[in-house]
Amino acid sequence: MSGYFSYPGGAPQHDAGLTFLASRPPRDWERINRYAERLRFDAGDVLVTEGERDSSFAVLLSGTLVAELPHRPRIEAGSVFGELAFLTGAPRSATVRAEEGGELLRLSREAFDVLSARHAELGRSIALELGRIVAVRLQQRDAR
Amino acid sequence: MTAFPSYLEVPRRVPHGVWRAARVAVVLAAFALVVLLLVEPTRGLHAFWRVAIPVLPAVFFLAPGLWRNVCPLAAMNQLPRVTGITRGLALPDWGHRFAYLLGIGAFLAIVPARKPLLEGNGTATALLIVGALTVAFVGGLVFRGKSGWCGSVCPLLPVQRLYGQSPFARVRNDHCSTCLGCTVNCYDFNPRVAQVADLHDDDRGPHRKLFAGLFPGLVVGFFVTPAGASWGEAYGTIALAAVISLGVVAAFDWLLHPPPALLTAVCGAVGLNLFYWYVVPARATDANLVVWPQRVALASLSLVWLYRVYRTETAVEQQVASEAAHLDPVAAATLRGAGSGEGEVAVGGRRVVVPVGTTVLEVLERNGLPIQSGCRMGVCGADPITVLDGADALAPMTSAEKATIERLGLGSRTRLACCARVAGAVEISLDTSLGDGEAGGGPTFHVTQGIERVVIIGNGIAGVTAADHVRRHHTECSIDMIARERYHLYNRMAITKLIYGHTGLRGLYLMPEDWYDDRNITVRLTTTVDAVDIERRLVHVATGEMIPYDRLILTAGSSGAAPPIPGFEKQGVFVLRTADDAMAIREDLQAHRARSAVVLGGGLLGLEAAYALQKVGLGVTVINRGPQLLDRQLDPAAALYLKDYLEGFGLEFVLSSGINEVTGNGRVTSVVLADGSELETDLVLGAVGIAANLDIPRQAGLEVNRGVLVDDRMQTSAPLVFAAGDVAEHRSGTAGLWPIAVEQARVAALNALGGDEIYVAKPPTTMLKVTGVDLASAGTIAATEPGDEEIVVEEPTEGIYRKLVVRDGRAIGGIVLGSEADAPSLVAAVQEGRDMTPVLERLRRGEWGALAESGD
Repeated sequence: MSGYFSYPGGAPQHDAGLTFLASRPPRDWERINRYAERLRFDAGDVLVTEGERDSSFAVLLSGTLVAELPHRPRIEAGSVFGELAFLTGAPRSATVRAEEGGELLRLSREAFDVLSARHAELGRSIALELGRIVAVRLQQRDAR
Repeated sequence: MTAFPSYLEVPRRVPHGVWRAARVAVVLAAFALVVLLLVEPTRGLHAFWRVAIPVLPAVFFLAPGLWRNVCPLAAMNQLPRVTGITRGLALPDWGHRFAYLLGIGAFLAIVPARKPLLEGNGTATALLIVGALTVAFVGGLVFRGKSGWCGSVCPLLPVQRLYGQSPFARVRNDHCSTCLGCTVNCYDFNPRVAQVADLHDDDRGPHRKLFAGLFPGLVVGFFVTPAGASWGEAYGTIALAAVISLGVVAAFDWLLHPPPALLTAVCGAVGLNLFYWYVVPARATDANLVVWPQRVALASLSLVWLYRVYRTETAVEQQVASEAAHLDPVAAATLRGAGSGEGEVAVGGRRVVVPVGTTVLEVLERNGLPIQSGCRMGVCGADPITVLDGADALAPMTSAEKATIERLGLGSRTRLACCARVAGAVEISLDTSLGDGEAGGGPTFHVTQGIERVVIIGNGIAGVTAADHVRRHHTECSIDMIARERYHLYNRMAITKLIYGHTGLRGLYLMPEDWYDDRNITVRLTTTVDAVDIERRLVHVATGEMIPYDRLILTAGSSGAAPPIPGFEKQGVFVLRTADDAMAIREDLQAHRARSAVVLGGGLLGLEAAYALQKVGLGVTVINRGPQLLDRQLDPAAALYLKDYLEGFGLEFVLSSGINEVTGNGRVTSVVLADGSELETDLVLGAVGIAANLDIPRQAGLEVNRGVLVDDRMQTSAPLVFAAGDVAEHRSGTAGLWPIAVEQARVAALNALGGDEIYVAKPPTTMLKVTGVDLASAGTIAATEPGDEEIVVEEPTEGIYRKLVVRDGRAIGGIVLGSEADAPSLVAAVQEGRDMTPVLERLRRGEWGALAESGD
């Protein structure tokens, strides 16, 4: 299966392995919430600026974002984004703007370090999980 | 896949009723054609083979969705679904895998039969049409959705897929009112994604390429077969041409690895152009005027189309490559529900939602915004901000904060971020020039006549505070400041940042550069005092200069104590007290490519330094003489929390130990610990405490002990000489903390001018952040006398520890670790020595919130 095609709503035809920290207890999410920053935004706000260096990743809780790329990919509520910059510290590859207002949770490298120092297992899982997601994408690309 | 909306996401442009009517009409037309083929074969055959069939590829090419909505076979296939008589079975797995191949086979079988049989035989053509309609209907009767024909075995599907890659006109699927997900990579659902997805599908990808490869040959083979050819000739010619074409395409694919969608599209485009190359001349009357423009137009359109296909393919690939990871529903619900309650800080276009009680400093630090931090109690003034809106939604100013803002001459809209606790929505700016500066404070007492010259030795927080108060109460006198260091007042609490940061002192200065000039204060930096002549009221400077004074305020501070350890003079061994120390360490660890470091001392500075060294990539071991870290600020339980946390950070600790010797040939290579074990290291940093700078007061003949002895008026043993800050020793002890130094300096300055202020020692309070742990420690941190009570409320799994020490019902000290918002209420209660009896029971039950309520 290629992972290219999925029907919206309902269960995806095949989970391409891109669920972030699947089936962790709510307790862990409450901890992540405590260490992360909660940002509120309106439609039109710029949330990520191309070329900016900022080692953080984010979870979109509500609202919709659009990356300013030729095919204008949208980021929907529930998505995780920015994990590559979090892992590598590389400059952001695209500007991201809010299409619809909402909230997001942003976990910086510094906050992640503090979280992991206090909750080692959770920190390890987050790091492995982000690595795994990037690896899954690589695998998908290699399979093509 | 939202850059490529599925049919469910695009608006319906043509009403459903219109499509329905069109379908009925087309089905009726199909049956009419069948009748015509039987009754009047010549006209019927012409209508089908010479009109309908030649038009279809153009429709597939321009608007494939149009055909998929009105195709009579599709209508028949969907009839059972519309009428509700379908069995609706799911197509079995092998069906998904082979149906497409079956469709290709049927197409390959039918095309060559056209010339020997079909195009000259009305009955055969009628049978073909009726047969297809029937199979489509039966497929719909048995299988659900469009999986019984349109999405599986339809022989026209391979051709549609070849042409339908990036339709010029997208027509919304009108057959499926809801999506059943019946088909793999459904073209009706999302044609542009489906084509790429198909090509990457292990089963269907090769099938797609196979058909694409055969196709141009198929077209040529068909047209070069003469009319009325025999069965053998027709099949033979077409097969030969198709195989040659397949070979060429396959070779092309193997050698050049073109993007798959582009490859199949090129095949489709070549096939289409060849098709109309052969079809149109036969029908044209004036070949040159009609045919060539048509050919050029089609070729140009094909190029545009190929470009579109390529772009779509790239976009889909990119999107798949960047497809966002997502949360599971439980996680999303938990996070949405865990709204962190109703403070909001807007700064620089960002709006941060935080729990009530969070300081603005915390918000700025966590968001990586450029803010400095120092004492975290509003004393040092490292973190001024301007409140643009919602000032009422911030906790009111403390007296310390107010005093600092006055010293800095900042405006009424200025707050110190560490003291600005959020209670609602505020908007702030980091630009302090936006405040409406109005420094306050005039003389409140009678200034002694004849004071014309005030000299202050030292340019630290005590010296600057003293100078500020002198100037505020005496606008005329000269103020001379003499400082050993080469920098204006900087944030000493942040010097470890100089080890891991690369911005140097920028941002560490605590006052605007023109602060001294604005106040007519003369500063001599990098200036050593040789001697003070108390009798003649002269300060001798090492440059030979002599500065007379009427009043002298001594704020010479303290130095990092060098422990008496053999080998401590070796290269690579440092103490850390000044900005220069910190920068020297940074230089040294780069020059010697240091990889490991030993920090001696588990106090505040030691831990901050250890963190800084670790942050630049060194492996750090902290060696502490006592059995616990931060023994001035924490009790053993809290110290364990901190140690656990710091170990989680990667620091290592050796407690109840010390360094016996620093070894190495010229430069440190290892240290010998108290137990005789040896630890290799590239760098040693001693942070074992501070010692007052007593060389000047000793020489001057002032009474000294651990510091210059002062009375409650901060007066030394010489009547015209006052002292404040780390250099001074009051009966309550030596300072070592900024808030104490500031208060002492105020008292010293006012009394120097003739005031009569008394210094009242308050419980020592420290608020700090050690590497991400918030820590507040105030007063007496453990029960020391009979009857003292300790109340501890902790949350071990979250690293939160809170403690209150009560004596005779009153708060005398406490600790808050890991819960920044709980710190102010503790500090306030301890500073006031508040009576806790009304809430004691609740506190004992673990209701820490009662502490805050007790102050209301």
